[in-house]
Amino acid sequence: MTEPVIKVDALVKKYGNFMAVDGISFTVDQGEVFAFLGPNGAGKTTTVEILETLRTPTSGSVSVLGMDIRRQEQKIKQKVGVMPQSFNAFDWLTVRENIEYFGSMYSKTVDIDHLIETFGLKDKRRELFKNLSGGLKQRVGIALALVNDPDIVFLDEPTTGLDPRARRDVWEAVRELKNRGKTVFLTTHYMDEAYYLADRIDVIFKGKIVAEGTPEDLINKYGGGNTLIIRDCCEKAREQLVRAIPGSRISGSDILTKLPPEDGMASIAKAVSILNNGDLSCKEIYVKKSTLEDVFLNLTGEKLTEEAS
Amino acid sequence: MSRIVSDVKYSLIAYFRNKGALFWTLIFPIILFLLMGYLFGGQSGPLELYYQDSDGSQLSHSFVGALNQTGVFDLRDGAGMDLAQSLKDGKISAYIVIPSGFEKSAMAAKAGSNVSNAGLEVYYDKSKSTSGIVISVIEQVVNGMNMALAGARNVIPVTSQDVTTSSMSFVAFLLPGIIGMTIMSSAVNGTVSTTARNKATGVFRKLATTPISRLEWNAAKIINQTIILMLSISISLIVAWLVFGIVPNINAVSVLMIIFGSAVFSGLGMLITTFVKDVDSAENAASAITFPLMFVSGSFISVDSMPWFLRYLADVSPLTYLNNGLRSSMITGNYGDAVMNLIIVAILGIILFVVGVSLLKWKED
Repeated sequence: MTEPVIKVDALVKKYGNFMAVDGISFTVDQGEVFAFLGPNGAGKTTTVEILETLRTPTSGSVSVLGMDIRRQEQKIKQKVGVMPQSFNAFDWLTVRENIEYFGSMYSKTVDIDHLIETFGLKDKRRELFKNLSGGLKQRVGIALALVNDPDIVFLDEPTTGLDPRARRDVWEAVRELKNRGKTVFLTTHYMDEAYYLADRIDVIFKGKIVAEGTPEDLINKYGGGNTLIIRDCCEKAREQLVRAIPGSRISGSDILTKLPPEDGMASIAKAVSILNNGDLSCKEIYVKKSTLEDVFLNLTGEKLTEEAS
Repeated sequence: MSRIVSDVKYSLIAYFRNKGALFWTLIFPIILFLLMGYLFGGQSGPLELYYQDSDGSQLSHSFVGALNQTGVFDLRDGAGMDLAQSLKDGKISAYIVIPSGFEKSAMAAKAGSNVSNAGLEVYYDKSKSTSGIVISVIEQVVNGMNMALAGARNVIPVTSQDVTTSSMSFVAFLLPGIIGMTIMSSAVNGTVSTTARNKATGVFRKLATTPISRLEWNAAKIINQTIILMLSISISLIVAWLVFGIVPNINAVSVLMIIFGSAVFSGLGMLITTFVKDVDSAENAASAITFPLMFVSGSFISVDSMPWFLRYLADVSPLTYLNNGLRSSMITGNYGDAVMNLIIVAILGIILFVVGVSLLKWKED
């Protein structure tokens, strides 16, 4: 098994008396898309900026690509690509010039035309950065993060403030990174973003990691199980279903049943057989899966501040 | 090094696209120079000086001839004119009266007698910027004649050429002042605007993730600033030559003054953005500092003619030394003074630049 490309052990970052990051430990493996999921102020950006060598930790050890962030800052910078939060480039330079400019900062640079093409920026390459839409700016940001052919790409809240269409565009760009085999460290407070993009997620809350796993693992473990929903039932159907299916309850004209993780199919089969026998009417039957939102709610008792669109 | 070259290249590309920046650094100094040159400098050629020769003697003719020889004046005979009223009306800025008995009085004085006292009378409008030049040149001509009449040896010769240079025209005085002002406002405002905006928009955060160091980036900014200033100054010099016929000396000292001047005011700009974080507040702070400095540092008005308390301000203004150095190296040719001012500006430039770079952070700890 290969060594993790990021190793963080007992990392602490304090601002005065405020504990922004409270002794967290985690690793990131090569080639995976790793997401830090949490609300604003959870410590995501502080952590990622420590990994990017932008901030100095109060204590703990952090290594990136086997290098110590305190001692090998310049070497790390050559080998990582970063799209910071609220990313901006030079307004009065074109897309291509911005990419050339940032490329000239590194000892190794990828083919710029190829990079422009990969991220769908060919038509916009002569456009001034200031004239681009939010989504295009973020795409330029991701292209800039790749200009030095980095081993790890850090994307800090890459879709915050974007409309749903622009977010999708950015997601595709991140998928492209994964296809290229890049290790991606992503921070986000969007559940759907983490679910769609991440191979593995750490949920961070008030400076501490409260859960870790693949999206499905987290949902299975902390989501509280799936819910069987039978909608718009007549009174007779409601009575029979509630009596027959353990753990079910009436909500208006619907029947809601929390499915046990091990025996969900039995409840579903029972509901279907009742509805098939006799003149009972219901409009539809489906299973609602738990989401990362449920995971977060169950773990922290709080909702994320911003809903995913 | 390649990072510095790259930053300079792309900064210049961005600069030439920004019409606002082009106007303030290239066009505005010329407009200001032309406006002030025409408004306060009067004419660029000889100064108009009226005279009334009530003596009509050989000596009075010699005196008028001597004034004429300086090349400073366009002499106009004001015989029969009410020159006092014209001066009050602001139609003329100065006139000279040679009273009846002028020669006789002078000869008597030469012979050691004090019987008559028919001296020259000079009337001038103090509010006119050229008055000082008029008085200064007349005094020097009179001194020369006194010496000749007294038969004294010309220990300190005053030639017409020297008179013209030392009492330079207002426009020649103004040109280095405008250049100094351009260096200050371009460097301070350019640095404040770039730095504050890069901080606010997050460009610095992105730059901080790349291998370029703050020293490299700031060095590139000084080079970039100097190139823009050289261009701006070249245009000002061409305008000064074409419009006013002034050809200043361009030498190593004046070029070094521009480079170190740029460092002084870029450093000052960095300090402003270190202490004032918000973009608008930082730009206002820059204006609040540079605007008064323009007026108290001898850019447009000689420091010597300012009230005593403003002269103290001028003493602590770095722009004063930049202006003095530029004036000495470009116009008066006083290289001793130019080098002295250059040393002051260079020391200030190095200190402010180093302090500015070390205090100005791209990222918070």
